[in-house]
Amino acid sequence: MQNLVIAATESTPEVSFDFAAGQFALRGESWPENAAAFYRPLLDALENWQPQPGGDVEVNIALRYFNSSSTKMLFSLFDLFNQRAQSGQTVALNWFFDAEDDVSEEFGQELALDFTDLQVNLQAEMAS
Amino acid sequence: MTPASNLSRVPPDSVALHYTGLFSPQNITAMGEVIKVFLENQQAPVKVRRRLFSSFVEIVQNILRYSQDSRSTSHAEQDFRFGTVTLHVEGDNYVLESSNQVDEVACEQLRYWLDLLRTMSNEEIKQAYRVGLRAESPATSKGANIGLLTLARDVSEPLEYELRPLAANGYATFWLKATIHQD
Repeated sequence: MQNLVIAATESTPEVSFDFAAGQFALRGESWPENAAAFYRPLLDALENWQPQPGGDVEVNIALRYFNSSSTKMLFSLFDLFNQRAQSGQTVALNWFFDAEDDVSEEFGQELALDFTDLQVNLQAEMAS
Repeated sequence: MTPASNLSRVPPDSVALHYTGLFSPQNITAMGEVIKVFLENQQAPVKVRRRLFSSFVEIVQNILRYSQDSRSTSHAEQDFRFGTVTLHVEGDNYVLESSNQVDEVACEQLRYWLDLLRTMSNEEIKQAYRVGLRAESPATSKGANIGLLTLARDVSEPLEYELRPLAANGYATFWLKATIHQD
């Protein structure tokens, strides 16, 4: 499957989805006016992905800031990875946040509560 | 509640940003950059910067989505809507104020949710936010929307607001004040 690579803008993150390697990343900021329009192609690509059985998946999310409509889309994205994990893949979700940013840390904790089939790792080490 | 006209007594040198006019995704992005630079120069702590920037984005994106006013236009399927936003420093606080017109339905919903949020403790707001994250968006996405909950979560004092019906057009003016402590 074709890799999905999108450069960052002021209000949208860099996207790097390497389906063959099972490596997925979002880096930067996410506060587009229309979050659904930005995330829909990402969700569609993930839905259409038919991975080799048994491959490990790593998801790295390093978002310095995300707006409320992006949080909804992020939940949808992680739900798709959670479904992959339920069907037998090992999926690690690394949630990077600034150690001083309690809002982002708490959001990561919510993810760990909700997506119990993902290995959620909270990583307080984002360079700000 | 303090009327919006108090804004005229704000000393000009404490104003970091003031805009009145049509809002577009592009000018919101540009204003966001200005606020980031302002907060960096103020050497505000990360958690304060995040809360203030987050509050700004929720406020102006709400204007762009919900403002109802004859002064609106559209371009390439994007509506541009009319409103005002201001960031100023008031003593030890950062203060965001906004003003725009809303229709009758939005007026009732805003009054209901803002009155409710004003009675809730920080812990209750956090809990409502957690629930809101997982809830399906209401059809209009105007309900106890995650945007208002995000704003309520980020401010340091209860949100202040005023809704004043306008006889002329059936709309109401909506004034909102979000206060964030500097430390």
